[in-house]
Amino acid sequence: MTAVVSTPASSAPPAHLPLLARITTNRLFEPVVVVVVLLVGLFAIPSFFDSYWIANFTQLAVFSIVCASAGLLYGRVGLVSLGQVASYGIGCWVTMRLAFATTLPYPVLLVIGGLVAAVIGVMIGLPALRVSGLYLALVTLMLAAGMEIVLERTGFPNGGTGFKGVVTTISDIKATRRPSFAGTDVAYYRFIVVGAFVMFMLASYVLSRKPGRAWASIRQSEAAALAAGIDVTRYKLWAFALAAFMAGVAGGLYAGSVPKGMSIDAFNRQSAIFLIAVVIMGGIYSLWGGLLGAFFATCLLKYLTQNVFGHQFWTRFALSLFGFGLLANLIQNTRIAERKGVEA
Amino acid sequence: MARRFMAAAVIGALLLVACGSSSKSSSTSAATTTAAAAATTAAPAGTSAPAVSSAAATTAPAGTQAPGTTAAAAGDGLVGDHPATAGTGCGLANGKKATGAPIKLGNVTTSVPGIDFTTGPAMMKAYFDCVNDNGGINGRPVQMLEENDNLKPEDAAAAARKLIETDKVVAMVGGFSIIDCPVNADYYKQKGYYVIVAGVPAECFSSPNMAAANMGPGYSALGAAQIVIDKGAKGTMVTMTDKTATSDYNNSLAGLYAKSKGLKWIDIQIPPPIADANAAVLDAVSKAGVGGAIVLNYTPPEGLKILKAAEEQGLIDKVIWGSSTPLNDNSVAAALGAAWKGKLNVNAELSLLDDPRPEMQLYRDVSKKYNPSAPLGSFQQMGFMIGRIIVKTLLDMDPTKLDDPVAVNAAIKGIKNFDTHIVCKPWYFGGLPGGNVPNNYDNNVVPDGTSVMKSDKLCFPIAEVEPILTAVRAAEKSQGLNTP
Amino acid sequence: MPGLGELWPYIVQGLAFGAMYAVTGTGLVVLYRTTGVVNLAFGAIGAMGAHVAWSLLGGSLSKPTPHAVGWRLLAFPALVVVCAVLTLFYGMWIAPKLARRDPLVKSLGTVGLALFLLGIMKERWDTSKPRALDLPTKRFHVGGAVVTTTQIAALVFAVIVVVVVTIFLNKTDTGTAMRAIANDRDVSSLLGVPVRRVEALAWLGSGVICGCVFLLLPPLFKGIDQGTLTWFVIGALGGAIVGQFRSLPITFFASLVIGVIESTLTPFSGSVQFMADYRKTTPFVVSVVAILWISRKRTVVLSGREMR
Repeated sequence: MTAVVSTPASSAPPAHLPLLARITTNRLFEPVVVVVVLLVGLFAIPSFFDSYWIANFTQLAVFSIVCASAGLLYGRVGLVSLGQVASYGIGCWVTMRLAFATTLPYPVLLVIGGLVAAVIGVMIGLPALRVSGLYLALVTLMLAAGMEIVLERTGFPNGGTGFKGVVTTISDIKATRRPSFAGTDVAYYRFIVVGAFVMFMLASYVLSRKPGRAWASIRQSEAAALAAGIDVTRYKLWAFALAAFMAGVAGGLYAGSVPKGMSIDAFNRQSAIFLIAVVIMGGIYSLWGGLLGAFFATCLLKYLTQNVFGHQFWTRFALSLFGFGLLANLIQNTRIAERKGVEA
Repeated sequence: MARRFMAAAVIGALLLVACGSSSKSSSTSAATTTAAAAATTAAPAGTSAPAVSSAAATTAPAGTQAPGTTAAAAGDGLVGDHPATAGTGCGLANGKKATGAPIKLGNVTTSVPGIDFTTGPAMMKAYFDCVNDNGGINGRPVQMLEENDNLKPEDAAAAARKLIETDKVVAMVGGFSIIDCPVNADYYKQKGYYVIVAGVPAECFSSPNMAAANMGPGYSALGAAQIVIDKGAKGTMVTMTDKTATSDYNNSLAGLYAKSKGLKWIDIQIPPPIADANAAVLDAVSKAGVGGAIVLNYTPPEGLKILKAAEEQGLIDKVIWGSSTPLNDNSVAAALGAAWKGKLNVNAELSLLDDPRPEMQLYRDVSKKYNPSAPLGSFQQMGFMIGRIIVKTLLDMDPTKLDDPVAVNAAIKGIKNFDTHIVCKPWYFGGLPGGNVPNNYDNNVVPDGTSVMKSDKLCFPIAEVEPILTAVRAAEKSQGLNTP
Repeated sequence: MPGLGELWPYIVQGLAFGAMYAVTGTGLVVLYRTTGVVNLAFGAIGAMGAHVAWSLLGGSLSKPTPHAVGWRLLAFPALVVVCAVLTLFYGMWIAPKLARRDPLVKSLGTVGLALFLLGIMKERWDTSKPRALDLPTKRFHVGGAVVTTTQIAALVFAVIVVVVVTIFLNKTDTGTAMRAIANDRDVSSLLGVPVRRVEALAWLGSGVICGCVFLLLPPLFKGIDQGTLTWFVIGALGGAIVGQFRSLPITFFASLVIGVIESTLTPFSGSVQFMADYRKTTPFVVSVVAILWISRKRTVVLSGREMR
């Protein structure tokens, strides 16, 4: 991660660097890697893995968006929100409800779900503007915990009518519909990969524009940013909106990947805390960290579960793994920062 | 870059830690026995109430737990002293080790902290091990492949597809899951699989291609409601359960019954885990009113919170208490102690753990030898029973067709009049269009004030309050599904 | 709407839980004021202690097995010791590695600890079995509600902790040192305040408070439940947030109010059923509202050790 920190990708590499470094610092390097990852995701994975692993990669793709959104807030703007799972849950709920209520195309539902999550994200962001870093984390944790209780009570729509859209007659319970062009598991997986790609591109685009620069300066020093004439309030809200939008869209994508009977587990307070651990383990200063963190939390964990020691051990011990990883990462980052003699 | 190495190092370190802490576990593809064993040993010594293990040692307990089914057997098709359909030993019982290509059976089971059902399949696996040591299925061993659904629908769907498409199991049997039935019922149907489960949600009992060894929270709470109303509950019946996605079903049948008997019905659903048991129980008792009834539909940890709170608040004698099956556990009786003697009516779907009949004795023997770390319990009984059913079914089949899912599932669908000493009536699959409820006669047990659940009423019919059970009973008669 | 007489038993329950929120909040505030760490592992450490104590009790609920008699007496002190040692260990060995980071990162470190401990608990003590850790208790009636000695102990303990800690911070040399460190660690160090020792004391004190809280919580919860105990700290943060991690009296009263509201909403039914359904959101709603109220005019900064 430290390698990625503030390495301006656009500057030409100095000639005296070794070959590998020259390749990795080349301005074409990252786009090429992106294309390779996308192609692997779209074509190689479906043809090499069975349906079980497709399901896991589906979760990876969804979760990477959530991780990237939380990482973006923390790493790029310096705001730690433990409430990203709330946005994730809201996006999921809204998309599910609209999928049953309307015949709108799925991508439109995703955008609406994302926008609703973004609006609520901004509403969460408003008090956040006035509280400091730690307070923000605590307040958003509170909000996530509150949202868990609300979702628990309302339940997830399953084909019913009314605001909640919940039916209890078994024969009436339906799964969330998928886009007409992505009905099968593999097709839906590809759809999610494309969705994740679009979200990462969106984040990457915004980061490279004015908001991205404003965020970087807010992260360095809010006072300096203010002095430089940056509208701190506006750009912080921008960040909340973008992160919530990404998480909301991820929730919408998640909705279609779940067969029947969405459970609260992905959106509870433990998930909120788990998410921040995963994000920090994956790395917060680059969007790639989101992908890596999601990989740890989904495929790597599943691999361990399937192949090392058996199910029981890892389903229970996984939390320890991520707890330890979080601590180790924080300490390691501190060491590196101290060695470099800068305040982390 | 340093970060990547860091991550690798972290994982490496944790693997080491892990090796240290469960060195007994080895990595096997169907790592269920080892995993379950590790899980059980992981719990500190004494987890299993002493009473349970002592019951294991006793072959025929002194008089108290007579196999009362004999008394009720007359002409009602109830299992009394009929010999068990699956015989007296494990499979062929010839002492020869099975060799050759295994016959693969799959199941999807829930195992998350708080809801750990793997003890059921672990006992089924123990029976398979015993069968494999005793001639297998005409010489071929049975292999159990288990997948965890992690209580996530997406994992449950992936698990079923992995088992059927990748592992190519010939049958799906012995899944103990909260979500397998609703998530995968359509998929199993489409693949032509007839699935024997121990299920929780309504779909396990309303799908034509699924049949359960148990009766699930709905019918079990109904049985408890019958008992508490029979014992004189008046006015209001309050039912309590965890608030989850499928929780509306849990107490709905009990509610229908209460209303049919002229009682008011209030269902309280609290998101798990219960944190304020005192407040919850005060609320429930005041809603039920003096002389009313409260029926709990909880796992032992949650149910005990409510019951202990009721004791603390002095509410035991205000209402008549009932509970669905899970609280039929001697450790619950031990925890409740003298205050609750005879005052909690627990519906028991299966035979008592110290029932002296041969099949229950075989269960205790197999458990001792092949699943020694597990206590005796109703999940284990169900796993054992399903193991008995499927092994007998495979033994009776044409040996050349054992690898053909179509033939195997046709045989499963055809199971009927399967006499077992573990449930009240012979078990059958049915495949009825409206759903299958083969286990529909229940016992009632009460805590004896020390550390045992003792029998209170044996093998009474679950009331018909909804069309599924009515159709099931009609079909049982017309098709001769459970006449021993 | 239920009448006051009907609500009284719920208020009793609520006061007991509120008292536990209050003590937890006090433990969090004192530690934060001294070290800049909001200890989100408070609940996980306590839950760990409770599980160890349960194991020492012989593990079979309220009826321990005979062979465990020798250990039984040790079980309750062991709970406090485990909590104190775990907290001190983290404070002395892990926390200093993050000492120069901002409070946010320091607090995230405790999230790591919480997850780590939770994973170990899930591995060692599988949650399918009921567990309880009952204190010897008596009950009597007060105005139609049953009151237990445990509930009274909880309330009395909370009052004592808040008073003693306040006096300690204001009247003793070590307390003054703690407040000095809270204001500026580096300057205090230059002035000869033994920073490491005072910090260790704060960790130890918060660990002991944690142990005492989790001695009283299992009887109130009627069981040991890893998840409930571990994330109990999130609810308890409510009072501390209202008190802005500064004022112990405000933390105390806010916690009591949160506890009472949460419990008293239980019997609401009919048209106000939603209040009963969503009663568990009380700490979250109260703290978010408090934040909005406090921040209506100015930016709220956790005072003391803000580094950026």
